[in-house]
Order: sequence, then C-alpha cells, then structure tokens
Amino acid sequence: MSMFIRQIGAITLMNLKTIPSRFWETLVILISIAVVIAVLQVFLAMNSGFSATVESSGSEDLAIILRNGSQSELNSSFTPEVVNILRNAPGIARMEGLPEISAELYVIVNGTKRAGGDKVNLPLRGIDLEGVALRDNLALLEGRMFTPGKNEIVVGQAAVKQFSGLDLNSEIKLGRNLWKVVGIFGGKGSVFDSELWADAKTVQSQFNRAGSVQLLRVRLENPGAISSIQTFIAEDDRLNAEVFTEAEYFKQQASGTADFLFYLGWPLAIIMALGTLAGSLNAMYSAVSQRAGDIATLRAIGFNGWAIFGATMLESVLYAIVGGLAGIVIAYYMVDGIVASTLGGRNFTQIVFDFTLSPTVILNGVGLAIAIGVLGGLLPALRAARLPITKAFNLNL
Amino acid sequence: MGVDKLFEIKSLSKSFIKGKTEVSIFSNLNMDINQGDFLAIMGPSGSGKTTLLNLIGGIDKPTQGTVLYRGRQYHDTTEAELSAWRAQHVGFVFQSFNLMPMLSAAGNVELPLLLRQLTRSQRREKVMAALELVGLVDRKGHKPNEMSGGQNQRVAVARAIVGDPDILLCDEPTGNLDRETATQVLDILRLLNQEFKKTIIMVTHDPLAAQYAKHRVELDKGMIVNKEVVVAKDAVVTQEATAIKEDTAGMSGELVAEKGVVT
Repeated sequence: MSMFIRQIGAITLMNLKTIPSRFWETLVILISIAVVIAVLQVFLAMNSGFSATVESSGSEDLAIILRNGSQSELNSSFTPEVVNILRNAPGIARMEGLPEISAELYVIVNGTKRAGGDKVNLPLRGIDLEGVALRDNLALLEGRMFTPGKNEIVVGQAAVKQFSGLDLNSEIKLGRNLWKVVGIFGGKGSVFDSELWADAKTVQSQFNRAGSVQLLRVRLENPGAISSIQTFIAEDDRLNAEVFTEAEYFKQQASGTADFLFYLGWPLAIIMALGTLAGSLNAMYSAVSQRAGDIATLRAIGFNGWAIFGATMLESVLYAIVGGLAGIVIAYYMVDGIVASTLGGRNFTQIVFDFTLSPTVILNGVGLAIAIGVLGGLLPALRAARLPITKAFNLNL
Repeated sequence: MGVDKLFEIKSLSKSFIKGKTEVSIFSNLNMDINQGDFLAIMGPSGSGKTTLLNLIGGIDKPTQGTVLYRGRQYHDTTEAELSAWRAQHVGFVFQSFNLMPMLSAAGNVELPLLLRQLTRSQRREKVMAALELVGLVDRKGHKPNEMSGGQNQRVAVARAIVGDPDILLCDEPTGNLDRETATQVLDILRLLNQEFKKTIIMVTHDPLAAQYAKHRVELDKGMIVNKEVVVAKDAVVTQEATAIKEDTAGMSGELVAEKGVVT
C-alpha cells in the first residue's frame, strides 16, 4: 500500500511540475472554480448570517402568544380583556406575585437606508419596561431608556448603522409625530438590533391603536410550562390564541427568507459548477493527452495504472481545492462581516444581519470544490489508467 | 552446462483491426531467447520487430500463441501483475529516450526504484552507481533539455539498469544519435551484457548497432527470414550464444540463412 501511495505521490509531483507548460489553461480552471465557490459562499454567508441573527433572538425560557392563525405579530391583535385573562394563565413565571408578561405592539414605520437612500419599512415596537426586562441579552449602549408617556425611542445598534436619522439625540418623524432618539441598545446580534422601541402606551396613542396589543411575551416557569398555557387557552372559549416558545417562533419567522437564500445559492452554484466542470474535464483530458508518452513510459517501467489514475484524480482535486480556497478567500474579503438588511420573516420589515462565513459555510464551499475536482478528473484519470501502453507510444506497428 | 532459456516464443501471432480488415503483423512465430544473449532484431519498417519487443516486454498482448518467461506464461495475468513483473525484470531503452522532461537525470534514473522497498539513501546510492556506470555523475542535476541526445540516452540506459533487471529491451537505441554517441551507448550495452550478464534484446535498423549483438534475427512481413551469429572482433562469443533456435514450422516464409558474420 505504501508503495502504491509512493507511486501516486511521485506521479502527482511530476504532473504538478508540468503546470508551467499549461499555465494559462490551469489558471482559467482555477479562476472559474474560484468564482463558483465565491458565489456559493456569498449566498451561504447570507443564509448563515440571517439564520444566526433570527435564531439567536429566541429563548426557550420565553413564550410568544399570538392570535390564532396570525403567523406573525404584524397580523395579530389582542383586546385588553383578552390580555387580562391571559395574565392569569398557569405556567407564567411570577416575580413578587406579578406575572412576567409583556404586551407589545408592532408598528411599521418608514425609514431610509443610509446607503442608496432607499425607503424601507422599519419595525417600531411599543413595549413597557417589564418587556425590556424580559430581553436577557439586551444592553443599553448609549443614552438612556425611553420615558413612559413621552415621544422617545431607543434604537437597536444595527438599525443606527444601516438607516439614516436614528443617531442619538436626533429627531425623526414616525407616523405624524416627531420622536427623539434617547438611547441606543445592543441585542447581541438578535433581530431586536434592527428595531426601534418606544413606550407601548405612547405608541398606542400616537398610532391610534386604542389599547390593543399584538403580542404577549411571557417568561415561562420552566421550558415545559408552555403546555400549561396551551391547555389554559384551549379550555377558555374567549381565547383565540396560540403559543410558541420564542425560539420556535423566530425559527418559523426566519425559515422563508433563509430557505430562499439557501435554495437560490445552491442551484446557482451548481449550474455554474456544471460549466466549470466542462472546462475542468477539458483541461484534464488535454493534460492526459499531452502526457500520454510520459504515462506510457511510466507504465512500461512498471508503474501501476491505478497509481496513474490516483495521481490524475489527486491533481484534479488539488486544482479544485486551490481554486475553491481562492474563492473562499475572495468571498471572505468581499462580504464577511458586512452588515446588510433584508425583508425578514413574515413582518415585512427589515432585519439587519452580518454576512457570516461560518465553518459550515466554508466546509460547503470546500465540499463543492472537491466534487468539481473529483467529477472533472474521473474520466480523464480513467483514460490515463486504461490507455493501452502501445497506443500511447504510438508504436503499434 | 546447458543453456538457460529465458524466453520461449511459441506460435505467436499478432494482428489488429484496421477499419473492417484484420491486419496480421506476424503469425505463428517461434523463437527461443537464452539468458545472457545480446540479440538484435532487424528488419524493414512494418516487419513487426517493435511489436515483438513490446510482446516480450509485456506491454502488448498476443492475439494467439504464448511467450514464456523462464517457463512461465505471463501475458494472461492482470495489468497490475504485469506491471510488477516489468518493474522487477525488465528495463526499457527507447529511441526517443522517453525521459521525464520535468525531472533531472537523477530523478529520471530514480523512477524504477520508487517501485522498490528502498530508503531514500539506498535509492540515492543506486542512482549514483547507475549514473557512474554511464559516465554521467556530473550531470545528475541536469534536465533532459540541458543535455545532448547521447547523454539523454545514457540517462535512459541508467534508468533501465538501476533496478538491476535481468532483461534490457532496447527499441532503436541509436536511432536518434550520431555515430560517436551511438558508439558510446552501444559500448555501455555491451558492457552490461558481458560484465553484468544482462540479456539484451535490441530492435535496430542500424548495422553498427547490430554488430554489437551476439545474434541477430531479421524479420520481414512477420516472418523470421534470417538469423545470424555475429562475431564482432571485440565481442566475446560463447558456446551458449550459438544456441539461438528458431522454429518456423507453419510459416509461409523460409529461414534464409544461418551464418557467422565477421567484422
């Protein structure tokens, strides 16, 4: 076995030493593989960053209660009476005898992207200070929290970077009124980083919501306590609601956009990869043909045909890996860490996320590169291994 | 003491399909080649001499008949076994040298040793010994395009012998060389035959090369038309060398002559 590997190693080294004589042909293949992998990396980095943002927003300790069938908080609505009934549901954690519950509004307001000036929908969340306390990973980075009853907002740090007019102490028109930015908060990469928060009652008043809320966020006594709330809702005819853990809710919200990015990226990369595969096949066939005499000589000397097969495959895979790594490096410098925003989930508002070239994304890129190398090298390598020696020498007669 | 038969060629036929026609290169060829011989196979282009060499070397397969090496049929084994047999027993010298252009002289000579269980230093030692034998130690780091044709052919000879095979198969080894360098290469082949007891089978058009052989057979249209015992003035002709035997029974041609040639 070690002799076989030594043969493969020796032939591969010889093959690689012929690169200068096939420099441009080899370079074209490397570049085309790099482009394919870079495109795949960009889409998967978007998918990875978006999913990470949305999924990191959810906790298993919290539950979201929405009107039945509303699918997102934008479509949900609860009257104050229903909210009061739900406050007494079992399974909700209590602090000093009071349920840990946050009744929130979700209003779409207009915003402007810093880059390009495009008009976009921004989420304004009406929330009270108990609701703020339910976000464990939230920190006020600058300024202060809004004062209940005043037109004041605090803004997520990603929203400040991505959208204009949200800097600390600036005033922005939301709806028909001016609001002052009094604080900037960080939500550790969660979707809340993309939101604007204001006092719930003030938002109700300024946006004519007359006491209604869209979502209840509650802390669970324990992760299993959600079933108590489900039973409570099912047994009371006045309650037309459904409950999810926060983690499950955000996963559902993200799935559409994340799937879209994933299923757009892969087919696009595969279609491009097919083109690259044709080029790779051609280059390897050409290399094998160019080396037919050398291959015949090696086999006459006693080198095993399958060692020549292995070396040709290895050469093809090495090119693909080099091209693939170049593509990953290009994608990394182009997009990794870049902040972007897109319509997220089912609320039709912008979610700000980072492109993330995670290890999984990189492994996907390397995997596709290796697949191109294997498929591109297979037939030429078989030809190299099976070519009759005398035919290769052209010495039959 | 009897003569050891190295190869026994029995009723050997080789043909190929060209279009819809089967073209016969030779049929029903019979010949023995003894250990220690230096045999020149001559004949016009298309007479089948290179095909015969390829069949003996196991890089081509007969259409019919057998070639036995030390009494053993070796063409009906797998490709891998044939490769291993060649690596162990055969050294090739080609008309166009067939050196790897990207490797140095030493790298080319080392190739057959990569098929042996040897350490790097053992391989280096053998490579240097082979290069010394052909007088090219000082060119060990040169690539083929940095050497003359004669030097390249001597590197090819060093590559053929470095693994200490029993047999050297040489296909027109002087075909691309001038007289002087051809003589150098042929002197080395003679040395390998006489001093190192290598069996050499050489296909050649070159009368000078043929004079270095102990025996020569001439092929024409797939038949042995002549066999000769060569008595070169500085060659050693042994008793065994006369034992070349051909059996042309069933062939359409006739054995033309058997004679000694004195130069």
